[in-house]
Order: sequence, then structure tokens, then C-alpha cells
Amino acid sequence: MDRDRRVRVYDAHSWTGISLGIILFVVCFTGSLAMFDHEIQSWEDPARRLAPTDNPIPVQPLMSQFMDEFGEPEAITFVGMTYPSAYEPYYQGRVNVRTEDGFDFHSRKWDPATGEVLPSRGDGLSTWILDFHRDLMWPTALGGRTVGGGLVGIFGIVMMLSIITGILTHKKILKEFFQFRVDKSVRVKWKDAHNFLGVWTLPFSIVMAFTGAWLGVVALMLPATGALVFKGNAEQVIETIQGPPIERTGVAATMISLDEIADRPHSDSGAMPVSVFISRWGDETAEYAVNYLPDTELMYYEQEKISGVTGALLPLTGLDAPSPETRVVAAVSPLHYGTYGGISLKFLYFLLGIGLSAMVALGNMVWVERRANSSEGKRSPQFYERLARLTVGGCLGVVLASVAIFYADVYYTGDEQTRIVYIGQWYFAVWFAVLTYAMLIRNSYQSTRHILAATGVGLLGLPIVSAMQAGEMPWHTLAAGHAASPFVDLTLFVLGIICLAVTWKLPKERKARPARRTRPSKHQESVDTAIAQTG
Amino acid sequence: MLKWILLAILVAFIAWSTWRKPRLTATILWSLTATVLGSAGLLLVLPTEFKPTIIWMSLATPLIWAGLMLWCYWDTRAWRPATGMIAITVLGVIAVIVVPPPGG
Repeated sequence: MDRDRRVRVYDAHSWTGISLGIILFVVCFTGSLAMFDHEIQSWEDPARRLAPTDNPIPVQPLMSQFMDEFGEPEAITFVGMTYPSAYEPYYQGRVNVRTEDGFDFHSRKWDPATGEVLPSRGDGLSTWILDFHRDLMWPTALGGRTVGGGLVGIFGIVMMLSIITGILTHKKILKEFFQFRVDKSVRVKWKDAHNFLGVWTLPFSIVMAFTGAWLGVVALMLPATGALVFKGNAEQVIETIQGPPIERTGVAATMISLDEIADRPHSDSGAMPVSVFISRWGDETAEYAVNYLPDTELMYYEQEKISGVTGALLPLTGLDAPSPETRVVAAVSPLHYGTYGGISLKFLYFLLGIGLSAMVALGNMVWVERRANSSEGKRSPQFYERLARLTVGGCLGVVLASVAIFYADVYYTGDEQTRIVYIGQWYFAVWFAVLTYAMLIRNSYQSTRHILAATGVGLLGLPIVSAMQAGEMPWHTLAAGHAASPFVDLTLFVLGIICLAVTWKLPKERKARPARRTRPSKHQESVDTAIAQTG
Repeated sequence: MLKWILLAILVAFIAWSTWRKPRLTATILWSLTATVLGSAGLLLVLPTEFKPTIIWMSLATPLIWAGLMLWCYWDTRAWRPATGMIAITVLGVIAVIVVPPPGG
């Protein structure tokens, strides 16, 4: 590649980073946390930590009673049941009801040992962590979650561009695998760390950027392309892919019991059902989509469709029909969320995600450092100083805000419907406070240490707060057969220690550049020799 | 009337920014229009089955979009990618107007 092209490609790499670096950091960091949304659900809600039971009571009477609350079956558009599992050791029923204003979604959980209804808890910490990553909790007034998801998808596209330009501009990628010059200047250290993290996380970054971009953008682009292809009728594209919708005939029929479904293994793999989603409940056309954990396939769930009346297997249609393209589509989500390899894979994803976030932040800092302390910068030193503070506050602010919402969720006592609003308020309040603090402190090294120390202390306090809330110590929870919550406690504790250790190791200020050692001139050498000879 | 005035201002702004900064405008705007309208045009023109084609096309969208953005900085001449993407956009618009929808 010639020099001009390399410079242009490097410019593209720099500008994608410097203009969207903080947002990319936020998406990558929140994505790393979102890996553990199931574990955090168990941590945030002690009521979910039920003792495992070998003999669950029948769920159909409980569900029928629940559905009777919504009147005629015709009003019910969708019924769902998730069977007890290690992570979610309870029955969870879902009903979607058509109302005059649109649709209402209802959910209820039961203890499988006693049939007792579990206390209802509003969306909180785990929902915020997952949804902020997926769609930035984009407000409805500004277009809603689809727009937010689309924006995250566009950031994924920008990340792809940044990765490609990064690969093209680095001439010595193999050398960068092992290069980390800790005894050099700040700029060289940060640059080495940026390159080192970049090459080690490269395959992960490519997969995350592509799958994230697709998951975000497809919700915006598919209807847009569909509207263009079908001359304004965007719904038509969904119908073309999924097939025409089946309408109720109005002939009532007796449904197969949900308990019968729970005992029905997959026809090929023999796996037991995880959940079932039912369309047209109570009608002769009712269809059960039974989900099983996949045997060897890379997908969330392997699905079988059966008739709700006869139990006969029905052919899979639309995106569920097996074909090369649907298999690729089905693989996108598991690849992005790391659901295919257990907790160890989630941990690996988490570490790589944090590495990716750090690489993005370091890229910004290298750009700033290079311009602030050399003739390369065309703007005032104050400009670069403010940019450095903005990076520190913007990136570390989201880290501390993420810790703060764990506390907010534990200490929330208000109405369950508004729990998520409270969490969101805390999130942005802490983020804004950290950003303001970072902008006010002139020494970015010092503010970084302070924010990291606060994060470390916050993380160390969380297991204590959690134990106080649940009224039992983590090892008691573990002994009762619930590994997820103690696992979160341990992770938070270790992360707290790491944060404090990093704080301790970080310099308090930018080291002054060492005076350049120069070789003495020949004249100076002769003068020195003359002085030595004369004594 | 106001709608048309706003549209005229938008078109004038896009034309001006394309003239002044062809590389940047192509990266931000024309790569997007070329991706969406180019995909729509291809879906209408390709003689393949619609359902698998649109799924493959949706999977290729992030790659196409990022690839077009890269082209803006890869090409020595700033105008070549901009012109190429405007041409793809225009061809896509023509296909959308002229070719009947699948099954139509």
C-alpha cells in the first residue's frame, strides 16, 4: 500500500475512533456486562432462588386460572410457558391479550414445589444492563427501541470500518502480538497496549462488530428495503419470509396440556423442552412452538411445531425452516451473546469485551497524547486536554454508573412498575456527575485514579449489600443449590480488587519527559581530556 | 409548501456537501443510500427466489455498508467512490420504480 493511501486509511481509523470512540466504549462495555444478565437476575431477586424440586406440581391448572382472568380465549393472542431450569427454578407463564388500545402483556411466576405465586418484580437492573446495550433504552418519543437498536447497529458498522482500517494501517501485526514496552513513554505504552489488545481481540472484535451490526441494523433496514421492494408495503416482506398468517376458525378445541408438553422429548435429540409458545390458544388451529436446548447446532433453541389439538408434528416454516440462510441467521444471536458454551465461554467473552472496551479508550488517549505533546496537533493544548478529560469522564463514568445501579436496584423501595425508571435516573445521574468531575479536575491521571478507586470500593461493597438484602451469606446460597448469585458476588469482589490494584499502580501525574542524553561533541571531549591531563 | 422548501434546502445541502467534501459525504450519506437502494434494486432484478435472497442480502448488508465506507478512503480520487455510490443509488431508484414487486 502506498504512503498516501495508508495515511488516508489511517485518517479514517482515527476519525471513526475519535468521533465515536466513547459511544463504542459504552456499547462494548455494556455488552460485556450483558453477558451475565441471567446470573444478575438471580442476584437482584432473592425470591427467585427457590430450592430445586424433583417433583414439580402440574402447571396447567395454574396457567388456566391465570388465563381465565383475561376473559374469552379469542382475546388472547399468545401464550407462553417457561419450565423450571437451573437459572430460573420456577414456572413462568406469559399471556398477551388484545385490548381496545392495542395489546397488554402479562406475566406470572409460580413455585414448582407448592404452586405459590412468586412476588411480582418490575424490570430493573438486569433489564437495564441488557437493554441499554441492545437499544440504549431509546425513548419512545424519539422513535423507540427500533431506532435505538438501529443506532447501536450503525455503531457496529463503524466498528467494522475501524477494525478493517486498523488492520490495513498496521504493518507489523505479528510483532504487535508480543510487543508491550512498559519502560517507554506514556504514548508508546498506550500505543502498545492499544495494538496488543487490538490484535489479541481481533477475531472476537470482528464477530462482535458483524453480529452486533446485523442485529441492530436489520430491524431498521429490512422494513426499509421491504417498503422499497413492495412499493410502500413493508408488512409484505415479513409475510413473504414467514408465510401468510393463519387466522382462527372460531371452532373451539381442547388443548394439549402444558404438563404433557413438559414431558415430551425432542423427536431427534431427546432433549427436554425449555419453553413453549402457543398461537391461537383454544382454537382448532392452535399451534405449539416447543423450544429445546440445541444438541449440536449453533442456535438459541431448536424448535418443533406441533398441533395444539392432536399433538402431530407440523412442518417448520419461514425463518424456522432449515436452510443454509436460516441456519446462519439463527447462529447470529448465540455468537453475539455467547450462549453456546456455558459460563466459561461467557467469562471469556467478558474478558475479551473488557479488552475491546479498553482498546477503544486507549486509541482515543493515544490520539490525544500524540497531538497534545508533539507538533502534530493543530489545535490548542487546552483543546486536547479537554478531549482527554471527556474520554476519562465518558468512559469511566459509564463504569461507575453501572456499579451504582446495582446499589440503586437493591435499595429501591417504590412501585415495581417504575423500578426501571429509577434505575435509569441513577445511571445517568452518576454518569453525568463523573463526567462533570472529570472535566473539572485538570489532572486526568488523578481523576482516573479517583474514579477507579470509587468503582473498586463500590464493587467490594456489593456482595455485602447483597447478603444483607437476601439475609443469607453467599456460601449459604451456594449450599442451597444456587450458584449464579454467589458467582456474581465473587466476580464483583474480584473486579473490585482488580480496580483498586490498578488504581494503586497508576501514576498520579504525567511523568515529565526525561532530558535527552546527547553524545558530547568532539570539542567537548577534547576540553574534557585537556582538563583531565592538566589535573 | 413548507415541506417542499425544507426538502429543497436538504437537497441543496447534500449537493453542496458532496461538492465540498465528496469523500466525507460519500462515507456518511451515499454509502447508506447505495446500500439500501442497491440492495432493493438487486432484490427486484435478480432472477433468484425472493426469500433466501433477501435473507442473504440482509446478512451481507453490514459488509456492503462498511465496504463502501472503506472504498471512500481507499480510492485515490475522492470523486470516484462518491460518483459510484450516487450511480448505485440512482440505479436502485430506477429499479424500484420500474420493476414490479415479487409476485406482483
